[in-house]
Amino acid sequence: MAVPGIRGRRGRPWLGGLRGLRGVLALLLLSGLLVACGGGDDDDSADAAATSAMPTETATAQSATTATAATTMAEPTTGAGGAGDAGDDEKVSLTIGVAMTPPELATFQAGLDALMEAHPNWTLTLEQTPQEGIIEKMNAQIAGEDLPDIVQVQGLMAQQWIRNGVFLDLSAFAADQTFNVDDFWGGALEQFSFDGGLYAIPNTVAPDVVYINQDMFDAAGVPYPTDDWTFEDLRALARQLTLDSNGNSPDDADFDPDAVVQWGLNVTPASIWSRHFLLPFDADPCVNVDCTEVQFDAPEVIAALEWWSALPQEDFSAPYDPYSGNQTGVPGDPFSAGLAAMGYNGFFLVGQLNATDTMRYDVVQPPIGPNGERATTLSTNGWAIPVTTGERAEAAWAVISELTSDAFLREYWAVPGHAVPARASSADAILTDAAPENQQAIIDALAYAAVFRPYTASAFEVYGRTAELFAQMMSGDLSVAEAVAQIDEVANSILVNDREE
Amino acid sequence: MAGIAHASNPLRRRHERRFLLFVAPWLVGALAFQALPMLVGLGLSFTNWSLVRNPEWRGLAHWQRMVDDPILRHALRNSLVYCLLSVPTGVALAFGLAVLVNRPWRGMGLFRTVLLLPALVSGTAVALVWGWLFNPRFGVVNGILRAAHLPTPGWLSDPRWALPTLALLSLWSVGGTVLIYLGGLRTVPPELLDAARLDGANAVQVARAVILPLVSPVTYFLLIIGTILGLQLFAPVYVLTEGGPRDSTMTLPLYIYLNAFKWSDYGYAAALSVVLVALTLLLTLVQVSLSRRWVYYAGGAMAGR
Repeated sequence: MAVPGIRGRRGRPWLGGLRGLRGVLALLLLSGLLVACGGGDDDDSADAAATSAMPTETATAQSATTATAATTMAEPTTGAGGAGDAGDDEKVSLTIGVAMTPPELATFQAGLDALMEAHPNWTLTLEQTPQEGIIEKMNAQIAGEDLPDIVQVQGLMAQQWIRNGVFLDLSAFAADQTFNVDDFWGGALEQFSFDGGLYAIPNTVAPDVVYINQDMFDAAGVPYPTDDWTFEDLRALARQLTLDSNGNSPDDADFDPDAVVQWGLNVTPASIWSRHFLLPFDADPCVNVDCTEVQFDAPEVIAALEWWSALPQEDFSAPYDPYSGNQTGVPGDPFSAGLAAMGYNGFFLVGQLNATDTMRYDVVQPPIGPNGERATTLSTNGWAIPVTTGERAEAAWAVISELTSDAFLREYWAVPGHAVPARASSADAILTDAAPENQQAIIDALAYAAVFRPYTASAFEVYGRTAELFAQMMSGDLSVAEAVAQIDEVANSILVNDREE
Repeated sequence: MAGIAHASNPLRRRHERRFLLFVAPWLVGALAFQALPMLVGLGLSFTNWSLVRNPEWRGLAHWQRMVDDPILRHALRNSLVYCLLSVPTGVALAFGLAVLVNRPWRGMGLFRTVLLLPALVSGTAVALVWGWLFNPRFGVVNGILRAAHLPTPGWLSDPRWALPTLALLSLWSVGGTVLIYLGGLRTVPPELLDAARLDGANAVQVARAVILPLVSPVTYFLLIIGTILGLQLFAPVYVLTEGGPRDSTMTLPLYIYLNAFKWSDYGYAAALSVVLVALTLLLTLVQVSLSRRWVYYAGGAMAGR
């Protein structure tokens, strides 16, 4: 039976059907074009309108030390140029790009919810990116001019975007007295500064301290180190705590260096970012402030590297290629994997270890060097406003002011054990009853912690191209003198591009 | 005259128009998403580009840089060695398995299906599983070797073993190649096999003198495709070794990826991509050229003639 409208001419029913579909397709195409040409993103329009009507002056200042988070949420405060009074009816929608771990994300989302409750006119939407893909995603978003309104930026990655004009200079906002930019750790601010400008506000910091696995110390009958220990103490302890599969240590005649199952220390200077291992030996591989010229072949640097290379080559107490897993069998940090008795690590490990409760541990400040000084690294994260945020920058700043307030940093970063607040006045919030016992060591380390150098645009490329040379140097495949000559040549040939900026 | 008659044939013209209509989407796609990006890539290879700023003209700087680039030397060598290790082995194994399963025995259909299954699993998932199996300390493979008091290599952690191990892993997905060979084996006339057996040829002689020449076009295809895929090796390396240890598994695609997406050096990455295309083209041309000596087509012509 023929179906009207379906059967076409010449006995080809499908053709008639197609003709019948033409009208539908044409209608769909036309409606699609109308939608496409309709112009304007509704959110954008609303946001622009909202932004233009936002207040620009700060409401009130807050007492950083006394206000609780709840109080802050109820009585919102902002910094310079701030906006977002809870009584303001104008709607503000902002996207916030972050790269957080799942526990951090859960806590942070709760913090944002509290902020939105305190500011009913704010709609803050998180855009999460896995940490390992952050550079790729950022670059793609920059190329597509599709960055979130606010982005969380890791300190070591920041300069490649800062120096290419991706972020707004926040100096004018931050200059407001109520914001108190001087309260932030100097090292963290340096990470986000360039040419007199400040391009992100740090929110968290993490100095490396030395973690100790107390079970391994107890098993070896070795006393825990104290904050007044030296690098010679570190070397002796690392040797004592190294074990092969038969339980022998390097001091035993039967020790098998090819069958190490427990290392004394988790690291060696195995990358371009090893300055903090060398400074206590009066050896600085950086020629200039931002380390866009290096001299690993300086005599004092070579001497320091030779001291360190003895750990994997003579004592067998530290892996020459720490994080690849080539020696330990487990990629990543040997200490947190339970394969090293001592480990240089940042504060993030406190949260991890406390959450998993897999080992008894404590922390101690990095050892004192032959020059009587200590050195350590400072990792940091901050909040930046991309240039593409445009008219919404003031609203974005108001949000950043809240995210970097004393109350927010304490409640959502320090207390859960995620990170140390970047405000010096808030850092004591990490002092809790939870492990580690010597939490004060982390606060004390902040006094001398310095950001990784080099940190300019080419730093990651230098790291990638020299990692193999550092591994060969620490394994003994190359002598220190041979390795540093090549490292300097490769590194300086790349870093020279940053010096020209 | 015949040509003119054909050209003026309305039916033929209609067919041609339909042909063009049907291939137009592909043609537009190929020009817009393949030819154009390749041309843009070639242009970028003469520039410095970090995505963030406009490209800056650098002339032949990247090409000169390649000459003294030790990582590139590692990558080129590793890519070629990987192809040499994995492609002939994979093709030979696939041929052997195809001959084995090309029998009318009960349950052979199930066996063929099982053989194909690994090829259907995501490469990244497979790489992760093999990574744990080959873990030098905790892996099953070394566990078995240890129990048998045999040496336990650092499969993926020893620079001498890492690349051969990756080549070994590539055999896991040999099922797809077996399937293609099976298709080829079905075209071998049974009377030829019977004639060879009647002449007293044993199984190996039948395979060498009858089957292999008759499936040589399939082998030729698999060698070319295998080489191209071998040169593009990325996922297992990225997941398992990230090019290490000691750059022993650094391949050209991984090096391109690192330059572009980790180090924001898109100009150099574009130049390296041109090298990869040129190398692929060169090896394919060599194979095409050599194929004239050994590929047999049943129509009587040898390949390329």
